Amino acid sequence: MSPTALPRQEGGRRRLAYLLSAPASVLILLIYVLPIVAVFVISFTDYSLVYDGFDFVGLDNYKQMFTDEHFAEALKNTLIYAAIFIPGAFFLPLVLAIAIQRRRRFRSILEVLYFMPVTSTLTAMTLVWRALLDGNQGAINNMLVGLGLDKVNWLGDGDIVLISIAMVSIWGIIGFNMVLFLAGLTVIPQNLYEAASIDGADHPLDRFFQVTWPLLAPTSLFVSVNTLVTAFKLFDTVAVLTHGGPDRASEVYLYLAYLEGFENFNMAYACALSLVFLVVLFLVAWLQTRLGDRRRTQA
Amino acid sequence: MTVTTSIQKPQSSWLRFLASFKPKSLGDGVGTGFLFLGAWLIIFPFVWMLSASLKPADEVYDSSFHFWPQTFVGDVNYYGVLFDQPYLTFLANSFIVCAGILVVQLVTAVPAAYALAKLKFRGSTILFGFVVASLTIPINVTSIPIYLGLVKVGLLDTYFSLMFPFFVSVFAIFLFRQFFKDYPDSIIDAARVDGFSEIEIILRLILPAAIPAVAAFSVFSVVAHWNDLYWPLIVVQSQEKMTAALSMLQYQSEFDNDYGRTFASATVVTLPMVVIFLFARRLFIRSITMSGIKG
Amino acid sequence: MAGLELRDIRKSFGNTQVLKGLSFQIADGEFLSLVGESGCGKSTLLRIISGLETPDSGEVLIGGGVMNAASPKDRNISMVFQDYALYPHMSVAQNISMLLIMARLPLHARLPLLNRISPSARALRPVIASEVEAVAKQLRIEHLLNRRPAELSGGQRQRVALGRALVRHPKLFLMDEPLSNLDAKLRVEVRKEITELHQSTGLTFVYVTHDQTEAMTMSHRVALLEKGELLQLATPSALYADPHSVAVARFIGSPEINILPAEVSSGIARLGAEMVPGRAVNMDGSTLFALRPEAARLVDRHDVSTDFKLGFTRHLTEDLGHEVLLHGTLDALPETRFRMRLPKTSDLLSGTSLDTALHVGFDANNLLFFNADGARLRDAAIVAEASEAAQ
Repeated sequence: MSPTALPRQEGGRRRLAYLLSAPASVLILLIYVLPIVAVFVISFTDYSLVYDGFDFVGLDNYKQMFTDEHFAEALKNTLIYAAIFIPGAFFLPLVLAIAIQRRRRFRSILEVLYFMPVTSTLTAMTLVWRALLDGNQGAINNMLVGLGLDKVNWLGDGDIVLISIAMVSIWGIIGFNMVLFLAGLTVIPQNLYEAASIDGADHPLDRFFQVTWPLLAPTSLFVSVNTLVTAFKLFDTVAVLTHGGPDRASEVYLYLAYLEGFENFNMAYACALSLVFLVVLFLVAWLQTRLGDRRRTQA
Repeated sequence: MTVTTSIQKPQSSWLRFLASFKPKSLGDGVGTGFLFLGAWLIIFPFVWMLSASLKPADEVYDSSFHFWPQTFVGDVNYYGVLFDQPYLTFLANSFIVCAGILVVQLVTAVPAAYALAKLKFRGSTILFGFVVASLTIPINVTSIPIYLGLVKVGLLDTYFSLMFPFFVSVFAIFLFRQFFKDYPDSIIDAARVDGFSEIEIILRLILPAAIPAVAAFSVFSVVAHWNDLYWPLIVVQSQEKMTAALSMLQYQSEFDNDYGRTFASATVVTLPMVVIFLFARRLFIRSITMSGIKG
Repeated sequence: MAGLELRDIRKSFGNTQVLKGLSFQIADGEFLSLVGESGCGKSTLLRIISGLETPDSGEVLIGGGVMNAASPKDRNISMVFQDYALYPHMSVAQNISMLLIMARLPLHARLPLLNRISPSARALRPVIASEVEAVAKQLRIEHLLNRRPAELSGGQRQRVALGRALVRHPKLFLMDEPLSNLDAKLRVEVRKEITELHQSTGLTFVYVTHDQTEAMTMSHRVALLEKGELLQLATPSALYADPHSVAVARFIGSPEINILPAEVSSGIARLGAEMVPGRAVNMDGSTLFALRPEAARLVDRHDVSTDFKLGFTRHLTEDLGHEVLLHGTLDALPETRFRMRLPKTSDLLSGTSLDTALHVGFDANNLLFFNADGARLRDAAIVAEASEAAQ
């Protein structure tokens, strides 16, 4: 081999690397970088698709949020929804995963059944839920009446509609989070439970708090962050189930941003809303890495 | 001396098989019962949908639920959905969009991920930084500029517009990079010594090794875009380009008040992903646990 | 009083019988090793003793009491796991004190949050801390108490695992291959420490290993298991010198014992084509002669000082400095491998090549005899014609 062979190879490899990463790089530029810059710029203008031309208006769009009743309402709705959705979407799958993991016989059939909603097309299933939750003739109300209870106006009552949506969303995410918890549980070494039982930690609560919960921490962190982000991203269910109704009672953040941008064509205001949303997402991601790093250095 | 008691076990394997179903304790049996009750609640919407899809409109909202309809019109409903209504077009649209997105995602992500994992080049850190940052950015944030761009070039309501924002999956790049990083350098070096060119290394060593990750990601990608509502809602304007998931929204505006047929269409839209799931359960579950790598 | 007694322990997993009726006793304060190839059932037996596994039938008695129904924590045992099973999220001190907390605090005082406000927890904390410190001092790990297992070396983790076991003051100390994750040098060191620990505590030890050297060097007695059955339970020297069966003879000793197939008929034994000098008594038909590698030596072609003198073909020489191992075959039995262990100084080797014809000599009273099934023939012997004539 000639002495220059190696450097030439290195150069070839570098050219190859550029070639291989070029398509992805260009697309990332077009799909992520430029649009984010554009969102940023537009959010300081009064641009609207309906009129030609635009002016820079500084922080007006951001100031508008503080006076916009719809914004306040959407924020409130999102937070209420998250407060109902997150605990259910976290603890139900956790309990299910622990209960299912110990079973040999029925484990796979239960896994399949609980996972079904994750695979299904949410828009189609939401249509089914709309029928089940129907205030007059829905199956759920029929059942309540059968049990001698009063009918509930699941989708028509502004105080209840967010609970109904959270219920549907929890139904859709149980299998997903359960599979994550199951994966986290299987990597806990069995002999830690054995050591614990020799140490006397054989009460189910001791097993859970001394071994399972601390060792599940990385999974729990991932699941909770993922669930939080899912809560903020609520859109499909609202779009199909309620259209934000009744009387904006289920109008959540992303649905508002969608309406402002693509129904009212207030593109600039919608961009400002999007950017605020993105900042929240980045904050969550940053928090996740911080917590994750702390775990790692502790371990 | 004590007499050892040996428990007489059922001798035939058939009996032992039956005995294995016996719950170890009462609590265990009750627990299993509750788990199956929960599972029934989870799948009830599917059962109800399937049942409704076989019924005439006036029977769907009957106050007492029978799984099997009194008047069976399943054949009529499904025939109507597939041949009187444009559902074959909707399904084909969804299929084209999912397949197109997946192909481009793989073609762009696999090489980029390999370059990031195994080749040294200037800008790789920057590129990877953009990949990681973009992981957090959902389509909901970038939709307005991309929409405006598509309006500008007059490509709204095309397959291209449905697919474009998803042509690069930063998640796939991230995932595959992680996967390639674990691939032993010594094998790549051995191949170089054996005279493999860099391209051959990718095609003959890396790609075959990446198949499990690619398969799991493919499931992830297809499911996500089959079920997506948000973006099709923005760019689709005509029935000709409507995707299956989006078509469900038409029932908001009394697109069809034949309820039986409505739920037949919901079944038709849901079925493909459920079937894929039942046949590729392991892949599905892997695709989800893989998403946990991010955290 | 027996420290541990097992009565006819049987265990199956599915259709595989893992333990086929084991019974033995260990004296109080004894160090017993359970040895065997992987899959012989030694770990399962240890888990049954600890209560992690339930036997299908049979009884486990610890300190004289039947423990079958007792949970692991109620058996007053400690166990050191193969990979130590330290709780990764707890400090060394927390790992060691886990047992004390579980044993002394009520359930509500062990739960998160509640344990901070519980008065009983607060009162006990200094007591527990001082006990943990005492154990740590004994094992010289006081300086590690605030670290987590991930920050420790293999040897340090090993000590923490020992500490966790010691803090209980158990009746019975169980160890499952505790040295297998250490490097060779550390292994020898920790081996010595465990022996010292046994001497200083006077506890009953049951030690599982697949390594015969560990078993032979540390224990009072060794129980050799094969396929769920007890082959022999004896002191290390008895196992070596007086094995019950070929399997025991083969397992104990390195390099492995030489097994020479012989044919015996009416008092005349043959190794292959070669007739054995002397009279074979109390054996007939296919018989196995076994000879430890160090019982054979190289002899001159004309040497008459040994009972046996056989032609030997050398295939390989391993010079270890303090001794030399020869691998080859006897000319009479070209199919059977024959190993010799010689002190370095053998004039007969100097200047020889692999082709040089060598001769092996050994005495009849160094041979062990087994029947074709591998059972020891205790009465068998090769008697010199002359001495027989003299009788």
